[in-house]
Amino acid sequence: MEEFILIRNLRKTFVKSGLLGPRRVVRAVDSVTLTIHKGETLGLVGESGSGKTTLGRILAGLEEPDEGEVLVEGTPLKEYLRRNRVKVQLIFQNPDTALNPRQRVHDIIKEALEAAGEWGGSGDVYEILEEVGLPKDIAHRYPHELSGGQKQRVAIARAIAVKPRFIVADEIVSALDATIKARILRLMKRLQGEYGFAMLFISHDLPITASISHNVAVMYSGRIVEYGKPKDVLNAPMHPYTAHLIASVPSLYYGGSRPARIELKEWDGEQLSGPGCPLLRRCPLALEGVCDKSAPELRPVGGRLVACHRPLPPGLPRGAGVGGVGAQVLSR
Amino acid sequence: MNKALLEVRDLSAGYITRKGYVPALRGVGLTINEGERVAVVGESGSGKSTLAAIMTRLEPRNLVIESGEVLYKGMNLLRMNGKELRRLRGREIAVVFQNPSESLNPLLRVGDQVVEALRLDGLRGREAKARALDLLRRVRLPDPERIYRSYPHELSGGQKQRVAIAIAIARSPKLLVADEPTTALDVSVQAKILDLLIRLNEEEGTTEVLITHDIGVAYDFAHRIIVMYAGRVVEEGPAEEVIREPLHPYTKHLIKSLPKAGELPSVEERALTAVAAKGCPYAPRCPAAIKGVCDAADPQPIKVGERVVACHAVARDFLG
Repeated sequence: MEEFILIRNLRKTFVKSGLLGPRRVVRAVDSVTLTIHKGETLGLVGESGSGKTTLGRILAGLEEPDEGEVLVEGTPLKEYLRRNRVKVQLIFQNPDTALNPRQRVHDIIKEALEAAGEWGGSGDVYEILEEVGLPKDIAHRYPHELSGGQKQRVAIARAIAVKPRFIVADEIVSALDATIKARILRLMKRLQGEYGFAMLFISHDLPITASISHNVAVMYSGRIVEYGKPKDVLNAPMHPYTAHLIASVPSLYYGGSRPARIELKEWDGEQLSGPGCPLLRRCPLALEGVCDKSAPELRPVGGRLVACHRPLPPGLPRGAGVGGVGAQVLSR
Repeated sequence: MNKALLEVRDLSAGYITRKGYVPALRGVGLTINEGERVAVVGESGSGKSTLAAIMTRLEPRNLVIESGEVLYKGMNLLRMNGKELRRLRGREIAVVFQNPSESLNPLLRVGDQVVEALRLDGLRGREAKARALDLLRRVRLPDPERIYRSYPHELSGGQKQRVAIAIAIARSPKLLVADEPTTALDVSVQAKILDLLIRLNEEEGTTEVLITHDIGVAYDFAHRIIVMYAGRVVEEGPAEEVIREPLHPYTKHLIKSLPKAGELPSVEERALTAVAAKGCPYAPRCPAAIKGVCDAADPQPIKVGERVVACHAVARDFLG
């Protein structure tokens, strides 16, 4: 596949002011190198505080990175955005904050069409509403008159109205009921087929992300720790953090049998300041003299990229544990 | 063995809103047995949270209970006054909410809030503190001494929810109702909170009712699953049976909406959300709907083995 976005060695730090405690520097995005291909969905998974939203905001041009570069079709991101601002769209978790409560749906979409220079009359609005599975009469309603799922569809309609090249979808289904979630996922998949946009799908939910993505990147403490095909990552994780995320997923999402599980020690949100693996203090597999000496680089192993000094073997028999290496293995 | 702790009988209720009366529960009947873990599953608008609110008698003021009984150890909670209810709360029935930030007092140290619950049982001073620390330990909070001295804002979401659970179980309630206790938390924290609730049930025999929108969570948690739709119980039975062989078309649909093993969920993309005014509320969405039957009358719950199902099509299959 052709490369669309190249992210190289991206860094972004925030300083937490010391109002109620010591001043801290938080590395929200730390040495991230990633590629998003044309028409691809890259899933970005991590817990709150992992830096996934910051990375999405940088790619949408809402944050400036401290270091590193982002090339979109060979053009630096800043320049690309100057020329194609409207072609990069962001969809959020909460459509309530994204939709103007005083605007009717018709006008919300009209505005987007105008911004893209595509406005040709109300017929266009109805067409786009139909495209996202909403009835015509929604056009004359206000956001507060709609259900959560309908509002999210309006936000999606607005985003695709401009024929985007790239969409950052940040937790867009997290607040929705399971069945509506499923429908929105199918909708996004179909729209991507029709419109051909690339998408960064950000979520804390690995099974959901895996189901819609072509590739999945798992983020922890600002770093990408595992990158690969969704089924590989979901069914046979190699990074202990990914395995830990999977330990938390209800078994039904695996259709019954689940891969090996690892339980990490609880995290207080504090980043590791010294050398060594960011997961050092939580990982039951951490090895003295190795994992505390240097942070592992993302390198190819087992058909994917893994940043771990002691990756788990890929393709463990399903349901098997990781024995004999000090891991706390769970089985229910 | 199967001794009923809580029985809900023919419960109908609704909200008075600016737009008029909105029914929330329509003839709900269910039994929670002693020592059981039950999950109530449904989407928003299914009535599951209204049910939880009535079970704990913490319903909002604009809720009207039209009819029915909620029997706790045979006593009708709906007939009790404030004083009688206060006597039950905490010691018999306790509740954990979705958002721990709202259930904890931001101005009080965590320890004082746990002690506050213990004081109701007459514990004071050093004894109360020791018991509070023990509770914080039991909900597996790291460094209980530090947590004891912390304010809620100094804790993570998962830690706050553990504190809320510690307070809920402080007086060893018989029944714990948890209304979406993990929805606001990260997945990995979610799983740990559920594990904690399961352990609590296994070790102390606390009867637990979990309200959730995630049938996957329900399956891992519960002995028995109750599926609700549009204010009714549509299917109820042992978790394993309900998931492996769902009978009600809506239960089947819920299971299909989960992404499995990296595959997109196999549901239709279009949403049909219409709820029928007459007949089975699920009929407009239902692939198994029978014309002239499902749109004519509300299906009555029937017993199929250990399960209860309210569906005309299922009734036809099993009763002929």
